[in-house]
Amino acid sequence: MRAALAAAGAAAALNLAFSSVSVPRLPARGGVSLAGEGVVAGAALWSLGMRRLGADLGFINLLVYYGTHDEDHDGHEHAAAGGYEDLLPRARRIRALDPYWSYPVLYAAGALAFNLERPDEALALLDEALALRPGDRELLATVAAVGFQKKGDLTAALERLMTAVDGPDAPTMLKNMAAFMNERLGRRETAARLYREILESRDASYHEAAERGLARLR
Amino acid sequence: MNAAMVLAVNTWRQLLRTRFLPVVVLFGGVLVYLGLLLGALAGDVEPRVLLDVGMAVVEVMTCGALAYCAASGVLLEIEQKTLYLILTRPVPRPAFLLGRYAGAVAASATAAAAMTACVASVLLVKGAPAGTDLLLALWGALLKGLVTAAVATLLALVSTSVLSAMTMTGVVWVLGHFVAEIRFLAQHTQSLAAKALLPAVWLLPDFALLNYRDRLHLPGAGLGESLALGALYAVLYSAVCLGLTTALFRRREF
Repeated sequence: MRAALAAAGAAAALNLAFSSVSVPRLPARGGVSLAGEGVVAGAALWSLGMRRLGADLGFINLLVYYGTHDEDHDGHEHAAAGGYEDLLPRARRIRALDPYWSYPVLYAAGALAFNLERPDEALALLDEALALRPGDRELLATVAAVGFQKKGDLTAALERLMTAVDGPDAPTMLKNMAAFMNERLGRRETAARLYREILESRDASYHEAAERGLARLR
Repeated sequence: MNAAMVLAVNTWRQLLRTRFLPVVVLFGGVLVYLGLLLGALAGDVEPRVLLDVGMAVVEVMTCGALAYCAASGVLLEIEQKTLYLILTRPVPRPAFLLGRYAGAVAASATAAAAMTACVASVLLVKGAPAGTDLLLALWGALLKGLVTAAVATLLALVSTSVLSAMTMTGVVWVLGHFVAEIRFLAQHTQSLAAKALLPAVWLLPDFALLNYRDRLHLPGAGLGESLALGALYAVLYSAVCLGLTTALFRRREF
């Protein structure tokens, strides 16, 4: 009994001493929504100390969700704009698991603002990410791009977007949008450079679009 | 100390000769390979997914194997009565425990290194060498393994079977990763019962401290943080567990 008490005291003292030591940690509270697909897997991985992996799987789920046709309850497909109502909650769940991972935020914000015409949702997501990383260049540039897109100023939106897509974490989807916008504005060289970068990226789902874009520019 | 060393080397050899650890490495290798399927779905972030899946597999397999080896080591020797052969010789009981523990840790570390090499090869083939991230994740997995093995050895002595010892180790493993969340919830709840449980949380190992794999890209993390700090915590916590185990083992009559 005495040995058990001594060991318990030693363990508690050790934990107390190390709790005051400053170590980078993921925030304890994430405000994870308990609704939707993949939340159980995310919570299970969180409890095993695998929040990064949970965020990875959440992002793969998001890619699969966004890559398939969205249908309403009657089985009718939505048009390109609108639909994918679960995109923002899914992106928020990924952010709750891994708040410092900016790639899914940029991806979801780009899809919401430029493809689904829901810039307010995109800005809300970007603002949440910026609260943790206020100086992040890619996030700030995307906020500006979405803001100008909302105002209908395509040229200014593209300028900001170009800053975002030059970063190391820029999603290929955003590059594809920037290339297409450059093409529309007649900036052929920049568009061609971006299409070539897309062809070299790991995301093969945009390779075909990039090849078509390059063919149009030739 | 010499006896502990001899026992550790023998345990290491014994565990590598049995089929258990090679099967763990093989199974881990297959899981790492299966991670390629997930990576293929991840587009731009394929290297990150491969690293995360691979190192999560390495950690779970290593700590699972260590929990089994540590829990079964003493209990099976008691059941098969081979323990008497060792204790009738001039081998102090603490040396026996320490030797078995160190041997199990060394054997599992060997298996972890083999599985990590497999992850590194996959990443290299994919054109995304992992570099220090992989080593940091391995370091964290090994430190968690040290603590897990010590907890499993302690629980094996207070429980009646390998299965119950492993189950309890699994519960400690999960709670150990949830320490920060439990403290946060206890601080924000109104329930007195929940608040009363808070002191018990201070007894659990804080695995978040050793979770280098999960904070690779956090500001100030990675090679920038003190790696010795985690090692110090793991060694001290393991020493506390093994100290209590030794005290219990000394009193046990065979």
